[in-house]
Amino acid sequence: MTPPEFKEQPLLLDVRNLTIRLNSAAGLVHAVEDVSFVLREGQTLGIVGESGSGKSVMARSLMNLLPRRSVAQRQGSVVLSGREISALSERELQKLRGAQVAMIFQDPMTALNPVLTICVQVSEPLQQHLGLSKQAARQRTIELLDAVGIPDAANRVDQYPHQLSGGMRQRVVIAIALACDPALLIADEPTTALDVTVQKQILDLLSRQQTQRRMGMLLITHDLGVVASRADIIAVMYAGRLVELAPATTLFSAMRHPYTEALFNSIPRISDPGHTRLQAIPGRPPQLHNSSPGCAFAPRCQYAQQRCHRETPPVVVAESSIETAKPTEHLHACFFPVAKSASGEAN
Amino acid sequence: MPAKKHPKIESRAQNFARALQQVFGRGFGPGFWLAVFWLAIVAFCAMFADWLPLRDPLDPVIANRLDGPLSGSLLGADGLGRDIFSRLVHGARVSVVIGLTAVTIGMIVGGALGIIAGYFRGHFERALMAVLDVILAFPWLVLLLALVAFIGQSLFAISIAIGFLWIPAYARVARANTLSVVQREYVLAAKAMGASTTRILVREVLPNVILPLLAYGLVAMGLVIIVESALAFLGLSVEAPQPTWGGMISEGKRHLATAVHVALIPSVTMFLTVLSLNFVGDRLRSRFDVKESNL
Repeated sequence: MTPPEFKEQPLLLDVRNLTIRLNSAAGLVHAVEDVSFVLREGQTLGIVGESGSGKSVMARSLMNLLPRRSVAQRQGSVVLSGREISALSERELQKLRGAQVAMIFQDPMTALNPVLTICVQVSEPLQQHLGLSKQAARQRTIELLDAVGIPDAANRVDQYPHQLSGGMRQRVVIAIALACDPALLIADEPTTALDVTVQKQILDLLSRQQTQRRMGMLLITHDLGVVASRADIIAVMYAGRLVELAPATTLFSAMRHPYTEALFNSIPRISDPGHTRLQAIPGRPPQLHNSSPGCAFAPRCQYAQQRCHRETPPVVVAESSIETAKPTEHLHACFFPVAKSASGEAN
Repeated sequence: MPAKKHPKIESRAQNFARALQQVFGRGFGPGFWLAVFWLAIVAFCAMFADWLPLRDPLDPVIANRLDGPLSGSLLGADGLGRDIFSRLVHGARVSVVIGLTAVTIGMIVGGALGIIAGYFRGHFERALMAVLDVILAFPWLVLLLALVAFIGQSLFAISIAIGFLWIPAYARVARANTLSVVQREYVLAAKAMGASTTRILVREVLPNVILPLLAYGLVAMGLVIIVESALAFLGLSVEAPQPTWGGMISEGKRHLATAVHVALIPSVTMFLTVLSLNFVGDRLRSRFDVKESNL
C-alpha cells in the first residue's frame, strides 16, 4: 500500500539507463544493463535478485565506489537530490558520502576495523562531516549506540569489534551509517551474514530508524520475503537487468515476470505439509561476459518461446494491471508475462 | 550471568587491557619471558654501560692477558688483557643501536613504500617492485661493503647502510599485508562514509599493517645484529678500539687454539641475543596470526 503522499514527496534518487561494464580476466562483464528507477524521500526500494545479478555493483556505482581501474564503461545518469553524481569531483563525492548517502554492508565481521574502538569508528564521520569536537562526538556516539539498541552503550563504546557479537556489530555498522542523518541509506544485504534470529531484529531496527528519520532506503537482498513487508517498491534484477518493478502490493498480487514468479515460488511456506519439495529454479544464473541476444532468463524459464531466445525484451508498462495499481507504476521486461496472482499470503 | 552486578563504567585503559587479553590470550610460556628477560638485560647494558661499575673496556692490562673466566675477573681477558665482560657490555651498545636504527629505517621507508604500492597498485607498484627485486638479487655483503666505503664507518653511517638493505624486505611485507587489508570491507565502508585517501591510509590500513611489521622487526633485528657482526668481523664496522661483539669474535679467532673463551663468550652472547629476538618475534607473530583468524 503505497501511501498517496509519496507522489508528492520530492525525488531523492533518479537512476536512468545505468549501464556498467567491468574489466575482468575473462573479458568485459556486463554487470548492470540499462537500469532505471526513481526513489522518493522516505520511500524504501527493495532490490531483489540472485547472487551475481548485479545488485551490489549497482549499489556501489551509485556513489562511485567501484575501483576506478575495474570499471570499463559507465553510462546513464544517477541524480541524487538534483545533483548528477558522475559530474562531481572526488572531493565533492567525499563530502556527499556518509553525510548524504550512507551504506551498510553485508558482513559485519569485516565491515568494522578490528584495531579501532567502536567510539573511534562511529565518531569519525561525526567529526569529519558535522565538525563535532571529540567530546561531543563521543557523547553523540553513545546516543547513537543507544538508539540502535546496544545495551550498556556507555561501556561498549570503548570496546573493540571482536568483543561484540555479529548482531551487535551490525548494529554498530548501522549506527555509523546513521551518524550524519543521511537522506539515503543503501543497505547491501544487511542481514545475509547474520543468524536467522537476529535478522528480523536488524530489519525492524532499520525500518524503525528509517521512519523516524524519513530517509530513503535501498534495501538490497536475495530474499523476496525480506522486502515483502518492508519495501514500498520492489525491483527484481536478473543478469544485470531490471526485469520487474512494481509497488510491493501490486507485485505480489499481479506479478508479471516468470522470474519473479519463480523467486516467489521458491520461498518455503510454513503451511506446506512436511517433506514438500522446495521449488528451486532450475539451472544457474548466466555468466555476464557476453551479451547474447534474447532474454537472459529464457534458458531457465518454463514459459520461454522462440522469440525469447532471439530478442531481448524491452522494459514495458504492464498492461491491464489489476484495478488498485496505477498502470504506470508496474514495469516488466517479458514478452509473455504471466498473469497469475500469487494468492495473497506474502509474509 | 546475572550474578555480575551491572558494572560501573570501565576506564579506557581497563578496556584496552581486556581487549588485548582476549585477542592474545593469556601467558606466553616461560621460554618467552626468559627471552624477554635476556633482551631486557642486553638493553639495560646498552643504555647504562658508561655508568656501570666496570673496568675500562679499552684499558689493556698485559698481566691479565688471555686470563680464563673467573680468574680475577668475571669472564677473563682478551689477547690484549682487556676485560671481556666490560667489552661485552659496551659492545651491546653498538649491536642495540645499529639493530634499532637499521630496523627503524627499513620499517619506515620500506613500510611506507609498501603501503603506498599496495594501496595504489598500478605503475608505481610495478616500478617499485622491480627496483626492490634488483636490490634483493644483489649480493648483500658486496652492496654493504660498497655502501660503507662510500658513507663511512660511523655508527650512524653503518646503521643507514644496513637499514637500506632492509627496505626491500619491509616493503614486501607491508605491500602483502596492505593488499589483504584493502580488500576488507571496512576499507570500502570508510570510503563509503566519505573518508579521504589519506585518512584511509592512516586510519584503516596503517594500524592493521603495523602489527605484522613490528613483529617482523624483532626477527629482522636479530638478523641485523648478525650482519653488523659480519661487518665487524671483516673490520668494516665501527672503528677499531670501540668494542663490538663481531670485532671481539674477530680478535678472538687468533687465540682459538689456546684460549677459546675469547671468541666463544661474545659468540654465545650474540647467539643468545639473536635467539631471544627470533623467539620473541616469532611468538608475537604467531599471536597476531591467531588474531587474524579470530576476526
